[in-house]
Amino acid sequence: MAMRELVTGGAACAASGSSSSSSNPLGALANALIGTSSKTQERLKEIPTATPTTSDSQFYSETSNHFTALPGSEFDHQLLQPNAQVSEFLGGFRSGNHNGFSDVWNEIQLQSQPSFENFPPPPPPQLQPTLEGPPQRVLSSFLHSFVESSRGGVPFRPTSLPLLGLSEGDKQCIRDRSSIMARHFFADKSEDFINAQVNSLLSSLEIDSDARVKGPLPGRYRELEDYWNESQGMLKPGPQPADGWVAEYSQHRAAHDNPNAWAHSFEQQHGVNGWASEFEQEQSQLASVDQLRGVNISNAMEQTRMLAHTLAQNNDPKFQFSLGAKQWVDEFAVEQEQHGTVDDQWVNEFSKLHVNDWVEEFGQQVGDASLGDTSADSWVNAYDDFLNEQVATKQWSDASRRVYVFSDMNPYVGHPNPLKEGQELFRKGLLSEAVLALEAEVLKNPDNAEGWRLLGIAHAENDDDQQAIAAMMRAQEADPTNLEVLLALGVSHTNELEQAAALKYLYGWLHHHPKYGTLATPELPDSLYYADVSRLFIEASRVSPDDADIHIVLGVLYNLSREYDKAIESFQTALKLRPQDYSLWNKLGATQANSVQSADAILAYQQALDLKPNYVRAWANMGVSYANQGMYEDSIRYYVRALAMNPKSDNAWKYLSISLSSASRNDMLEACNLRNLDVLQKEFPL
Amino acid sequence: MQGGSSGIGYGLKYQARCISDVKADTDHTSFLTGTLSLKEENEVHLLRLSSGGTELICEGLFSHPNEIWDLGSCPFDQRIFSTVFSSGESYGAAIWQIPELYGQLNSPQLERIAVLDAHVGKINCILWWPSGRHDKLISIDDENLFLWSLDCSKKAAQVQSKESSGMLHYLSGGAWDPHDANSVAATCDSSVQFWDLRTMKKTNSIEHAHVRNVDFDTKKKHILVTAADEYGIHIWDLRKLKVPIQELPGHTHWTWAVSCNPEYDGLLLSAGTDSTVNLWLASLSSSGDEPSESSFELPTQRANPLLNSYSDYEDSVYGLAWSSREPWIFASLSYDGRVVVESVKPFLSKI
Repeated sequence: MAMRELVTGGAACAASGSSSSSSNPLGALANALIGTSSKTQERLKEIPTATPTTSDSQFYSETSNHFTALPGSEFDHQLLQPNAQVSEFLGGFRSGNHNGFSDVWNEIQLQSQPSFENFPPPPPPQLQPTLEGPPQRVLSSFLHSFVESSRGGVPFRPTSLPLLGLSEGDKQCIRDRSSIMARHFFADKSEDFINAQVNSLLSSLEIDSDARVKGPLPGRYRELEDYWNESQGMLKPGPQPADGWVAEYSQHRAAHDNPNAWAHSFEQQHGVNGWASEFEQEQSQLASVDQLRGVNISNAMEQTRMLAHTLAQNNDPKFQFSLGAKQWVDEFAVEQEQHGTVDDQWVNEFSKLHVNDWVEEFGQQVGDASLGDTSADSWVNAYDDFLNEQVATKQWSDASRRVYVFSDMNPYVGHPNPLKEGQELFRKGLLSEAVLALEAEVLKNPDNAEGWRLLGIAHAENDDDQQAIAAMMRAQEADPTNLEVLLALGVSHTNELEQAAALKYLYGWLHHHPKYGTLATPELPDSLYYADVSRLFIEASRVSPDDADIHIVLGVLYNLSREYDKAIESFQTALKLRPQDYSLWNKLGATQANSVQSADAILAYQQALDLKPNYVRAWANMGVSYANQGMYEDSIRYYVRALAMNPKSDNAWKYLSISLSSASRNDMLEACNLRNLDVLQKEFPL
Repeated sequence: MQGGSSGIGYGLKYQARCISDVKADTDHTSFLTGTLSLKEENEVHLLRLSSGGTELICEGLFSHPNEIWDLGSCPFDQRIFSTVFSSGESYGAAIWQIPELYGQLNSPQLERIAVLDAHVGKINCILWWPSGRHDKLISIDDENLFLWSLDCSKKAAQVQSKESSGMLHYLSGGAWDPHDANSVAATCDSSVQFWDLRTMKKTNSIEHAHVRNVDFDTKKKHILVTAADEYGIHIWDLRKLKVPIQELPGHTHWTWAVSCNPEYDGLLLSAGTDSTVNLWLASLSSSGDEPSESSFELPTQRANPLLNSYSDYEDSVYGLAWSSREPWIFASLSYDGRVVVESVKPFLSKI
């Protein structure tokens, strides 16, 4: 329990002021460790007799399909391979079968040992270690070395670190977590020893340890000094390992003139050997230089090995009977069965973590090493390709922010006519329900432009422009000239303050309009200038002054250029032509609010809500206007009302928490953070 | 932590005053910030907002020899920036280049590409022309205004022209008009002076204004915003400098810094020694045609222009920087070395 809470950053561990520590290295590390193991463990069930060296290809194909086509992607093996071993290991551990457990361990050991001979000569240890670099990286390396010190119970030596810029919150977090973690690592050691370990860590980070962990620093011994120096050397990868690496690569290349040989040797060298060296170290309790090289190659491997290590320590009978560890394992098993999705998150987090770290470290080694020989060059090129692929993947994931996110557990899936149901719900003003029904429709008919369009409108009225844009983009894909879709995209992008995109769609509206299309140039220009577009619309409004749509688009355009007076005028003109259009009243109100006329805005919103009582956007906008006038209590009531209708609105929850703070209603912040609507509605009725 | 703070934080180790948007980095939202520690070695941190916008990542950490009193990122080269620094008794100003990083662990040395060494007194600030590639720099010390021509490739900066403000006026800072590369506004003890860089002559001034900080609106021409210690924020039309077009109350203590949003005219930030940052939505709408009485009779619907007051700081806030890449994001820096990045989206209404 305690362990889980520790790594998941449960409430007990959270430090006040920890909003500053947006990343907690210790927690992230532990998450990553547990995450991978639990996932691979799950997979392991499908593979009754997983043999670590051969089964890795299955994991590989599952997790990183997009790498397979790439030259040089063999290197990926080393990242995933240890997981198989770990999971098998963990499997044995979980079943509580100690024989199976040690069998597996022995098996791994046996398999690993033959590969020792492949190791290149160890590089000389660096005697003057320094920890340098950006704070996060230094901190993470430093914490690694602390966890590392738990192997074999070697006292941890304080060191001087560069300036890390830790906030009080960060410090408290590190203090709390390291104290607890140390007690798990050194369950078999005395309290004094643990205190000393934690103290060294904290004093290096210039964190005041509290009385609880105060204790004498351990004495210095020569061999410990050496150990320290060695373990420090690993934090600062030098050119030597990489050189040795390249040399060995060339050797292998000469020996077996076949492309697989490289992959094979790489795999052996860095996949299995890293693991093997871990084991060797485990046995001899000495920091082997090869193991240190493993760290250079990949933080991910390091982390995986640390998990193995922690578990290996559990082999110790004392730890086996430690209540905390047992609870943790039990809870972990339960968690595993209950929440598959949590594991997925962990795995995601881990994959994010290890790939980036690894690529970064690798790029650095490539940069450090002097690679003169041509075969090495081609190898480097393969790596460049791989890095480019990484960048492309990242960019794609940026773009994927615009991918529509479907709800889980949709009761309308399987409904005979979800579109009709969705339209009906939308008419009744049940926006969140309508969203579900329409999602069922577009899942059934992914090319139904009307389904996507209505879904987009429902999201916009529900005050979620991100989802509205995602849905409207699908609608536009299916029906590229739909005017309502183009206008809605223009509006939502305006709300997201994305001027170029908004301008593009508003111009598209004109371009595809049967009546005004002739005003636009036949080709869509690559770049649009605001002045040109607005000139065209002004022209169109002269052609047909009674077309409300033109005035609406003009109003949106003036919002883009923040000519609010003109925007208000345009919307007012449109409202004369179309007084029953609730979304138009909201547009007027929002424009007035943005031009610092909040009192007028509230009147306009009220009109919108009279016409459509469940119009979430207008409720939320009401809240914004009251907040902007400093009437925070009122704004809270409107936000709560908006949330009652759309509890999924992350924006509204954020606004609410800001208003609660501004109104000094910190007593209600917890309910807000827990998203407890019942409490909030009772406290802030409208 | 208070739930009201939606900001993303980052802690510098030392006290600090200066933060600058890295405008030339078009791929990321990044900020440069420099520390001001009397005893210790000072640092420049290059911070980047993660792509999800959830985290501030330190992309580079460089040591800097002296206390940093002013820092400006070059608007056309993301690796170049200027600092004004002090060792206690003497002041210096230099242009620096960040070395290529390649994700190295070691913190490399900054390369000093030019020293602006013509000053004798206390140097106040270095100004880059904000609107793109321009080979000129302005530096302002207590008594003089220098125009430098900078050649990054040759690593040289030469004084092109210089003018003294006159014995009775102590200059304290300034801003370069983004709409007119020949015009600069310099703050004096009791006035704001406008200089024409071609003639190096004063062209105009705002008198009786004890201004601490000035900024031009990047979108609208002729708009200048000033922050005065005790008199709050004033918005001026450069064509009519007798009366400000709008007054904002400012802060409960001194107002130290003011910054105009690079995209949204009228959206202003101010910071002060009351440990708050205020977000204002001022109306800059053309009062040009209206009679000037309007400044006495403010229309009633012009309600409170204060959108939000960020008060989650533990020390005075001197550093403010809007992101030009994501103009709804800004970074603030309090004297205790805390960087907070916030989004202003929650305070805008959706049409």
